[in-house]
Order: sequence, then C-alpha cells, then structure tokens
Amino acid sequence: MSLAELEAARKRTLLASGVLYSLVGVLFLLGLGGRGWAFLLGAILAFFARLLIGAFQAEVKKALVSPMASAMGFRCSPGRGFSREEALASGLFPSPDRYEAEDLVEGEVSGIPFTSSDIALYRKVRVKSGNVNTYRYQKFFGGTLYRFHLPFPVGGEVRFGPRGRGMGVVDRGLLLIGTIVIGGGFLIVTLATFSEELSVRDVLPFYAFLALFAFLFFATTLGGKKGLQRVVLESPEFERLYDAYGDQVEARKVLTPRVQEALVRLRAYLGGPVWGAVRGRDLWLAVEGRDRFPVPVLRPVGETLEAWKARYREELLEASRVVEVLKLEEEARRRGVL
Amino acid sequence: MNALILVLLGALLALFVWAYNAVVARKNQVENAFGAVEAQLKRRRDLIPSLVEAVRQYMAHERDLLERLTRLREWAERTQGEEHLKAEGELSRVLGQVWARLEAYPDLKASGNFLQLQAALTEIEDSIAAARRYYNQAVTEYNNALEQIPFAPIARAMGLARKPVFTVPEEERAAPDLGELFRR
Repeated sequence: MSLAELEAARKRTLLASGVLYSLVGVLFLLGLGGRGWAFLLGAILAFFARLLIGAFQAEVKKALVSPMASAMGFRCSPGRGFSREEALASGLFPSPDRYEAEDLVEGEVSGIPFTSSDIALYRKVRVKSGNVNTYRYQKFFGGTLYRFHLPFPVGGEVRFGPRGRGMGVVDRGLLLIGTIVIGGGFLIVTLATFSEELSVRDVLPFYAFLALFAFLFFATTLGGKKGLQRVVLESPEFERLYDAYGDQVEARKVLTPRVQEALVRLRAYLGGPVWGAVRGRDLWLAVEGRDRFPVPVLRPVGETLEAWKARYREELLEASRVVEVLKLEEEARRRGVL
Repeated sequence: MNALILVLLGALLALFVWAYNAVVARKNQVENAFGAVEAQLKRRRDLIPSLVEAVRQYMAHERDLLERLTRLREWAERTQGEEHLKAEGELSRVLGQVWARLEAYPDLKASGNFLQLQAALTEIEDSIAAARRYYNQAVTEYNNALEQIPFAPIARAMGLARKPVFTVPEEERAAPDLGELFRR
C-alpha cells in the first residue's frame, strides 16, 4: 500500500471516527437527561470508533514498519519476535504465564550488531465474581527488549534496573498485594496489642510469623539471582536512577564511571524505566512501556513515518552508545591507557 | 501501659541491634574490600617473575630497571600495613616504566609468550582498579557511619577509627596522551 493510499485511509478513518465520537457526545448528553439507553448506545459507538482507529493503526504499521527498517539498513519481521526462551535467557524477567512478541528488528548500529523486539509478559490472575471464579491475563511487562552483541566477552554477570525495583522486572501487582497483606497484618496485631485485646506474649508468635512471611515473600519477588550482590557505585546520578548487582569487582570492571554516565543519559532520553544485563557477549536492555511505532490519527502518515525514522534511529544510537563506551574502555585497557 | 513500655523497649532494642549490626557489616565490608584488592595485588606479584624472565633477553639494557622490579616485588611480599601499600605503589610506578620502555623493543611485542603475559597483566591491572573502587566505596560508607547517628556512639564504643581511601599518586594524575596511544 502506497503512502498516498494510507493517507486517504487516514482521512476516511478520521472522518468516520469523528462522526462516531460526535454521536457519542450527543448520546452522553441524552443519557445525562435521564435516557439510560443512550449511555449503552454511546458505549457501543465509542467501541466501534476505537476499533476503526485500531484497524487503521495496524494497517499503517503493517505497511510501513518493514520497508522503513529495510530503508534504514535493518531487517524487520513484524510477525516475529524474541522467543520466550530468548527473552528469559536475558535473566531480566520472571517466567510469565503468557508471552507475546512482535516486530523483530535485526541489524547493526555504529558497527554493533543488535536484535530488538516488542514483548509483553502476562501473569494469570483469578477474578472472583460472586461464586464464580474466572481467570484473566494481566500484563506485568510491556515494552522493547534489545540485545546488543559485544565485541568481547564479559566475566560474570552484571545487572542493573530502576532504583528500588529489584534485580529484574517484577510483577508489581503481586508486590503491591503482598505489601498490603504484610503491612496490614503488622498494623492489626500492633493495634490489638495497644487496645489490650492481645497480651504481648500472645502477639510475639504473630510478629515472628509475619516477619518470616515478609522475608520469604520479598526474597522471592525481589531477591533475583543468588550470588549477585548489590553494588553501590560512585556516580550519585546513576545511584539515583539505578540499582546495580553483580560481583563487587567484576561489576565495577563493566560499570566504569563512563558506562554509568552513558546509562544515565540513556535513561534521561527514554524517560521510562530501563533494566539491563551483561552476560557473556550480550548486553540486554529492556525498556518498559514504549510503543516504538505510534500511529496518531491526527498526523499525516508521511509525518508519522519521518517521526518514526528519527526517533528509532536516535533511540538505537542512544542505546548503542552504552556499547560504544564499553568498546572504547576495552580498547583503552588493551592498549594500556587505563 | 505496660504493653506500651514493652513495645517501646522492644523498638529501642531493635534499633540498637540494627545499628550495631550495620556498623559491624560496614567494618567487615571494608576488610572484605581490602582483601579483594590484596588478592589482585598478589596475582600481579605472582606474574612479575614470569614477566622479568620473558623480557630479560630482549631488554638487556634495562637490567637495572628489571632488578628494581624484582626487589620491589620481594619488598611488597615481606611487608605489611602502610609499608606494604607504599611498596605496591612503587611497584605500580616501576611497572609503568617497564611498559613505557617496551615500545623500544618491537621484537618483544611479537613474542607469543610475552603477549599472553601482557594480556594477563592488563586484566589484573583492570581488576586492581575495580577492587580499589570497591574499597573506596566501602571505606566511604564506613567513615560516614562513624559520624552518623545512631551508629557513631556504637562505633566509638567499639573503638573504631576512620580509614583512608586509596588515592592516585601525583605522577599518575597526568592525563594520558590518548591520541598517541591510539596511533600505536
């Protein structure tokens, strides 16, 4: 499909969805006037409008992502992504109940080979409604996973992630529920002690049980991999944004002040949480919550394509700068500068 | 009322235990970090006899320098504490001089045995630098704890004193000529 055809499709979608949303507005006002059926009809029309926009966005992505990647010298397979095993091999994610991946892009940036893919990881949760239990999948990570191939192997394993968010991506829903249960438990037992419903002697086993439960819960959800220690680094900016883990000496060999600086800049550019792992010859970066190829209906398709190109190239350059710094440090070491 | 007093006493006890454990953990971390530096320095000392052996026949004119390196290594092996650190510092300086002189011996740079040794020493120097950063971080946390509440009174009661961090010797502070090094 050509750009002109896509632009015509955009105008049609914009017109149709505009009409539908106007009707939704009118129906909403009617609903406020006491006509209950208007709310239902408005919701149905809003759903159809959203469907129309979604179909158009999918069509644009399908038609443009692959040629754009090819034009930039990359290979793109929109229907493919990192396999579940590959994503888990990064060590950044807990095993999900459902896994989705798409938009696999492979290529080289500044001489550094990379592969990237949009991925989504889901946890199966039980929803109780009356006496009926239903299950649904709740997303706990959605974003882009990058793998950069380092020109030299790295000893041991180094990980870093957003400050206070653990060694890898954490199921935040589960963490929140656990924290509420544990915090609530401590609060209830303490209040019961003050109101003298429970004696101190009665309360001690409760505290012991809650402390043990809290330890086991946080160790399993946040603990991550055994043998990796928290590594405190010298850059205050890095420490404000990230927590790093690994062997105290090996991790510092990778996360030199210059690499820390590059990671701080990457985080500032992306604006969202970034997790990373360096293992063997691979640098993995997981960037949360980013649609790499957004399709705003209000913007002409040609402009969207230009924005994609600029943003995608810049994002890759920013990420590859981390590898470049690693490469430069390795070269400097080899030549005896450091 | 009794329960309130007991809970408060329990909280105070928990605070004391936590602060005491934190001070002990920081003290042990400094010792652990120093051990990491020492382990890397030992690896370097162990490589020096092989290095001297590998370069001796090529660097006949640098006999004095190589002998000094051997003597410094023995001095570092024998000594402890401040004197040991001084010996290691001097050893680093003389090793730097040996590397600088190597440029004048292209035959040596073609020797497979020497190249292996060079790679091993470069890796060790890198590990020493990383271990020193670890040590400095551990000492900074430890020194901070000595002056912070609630750790300070406990540290004083334990007789703990401030520790110095590793600093770069004056002669190593000059920025290297990167252009020259990358043209090699």
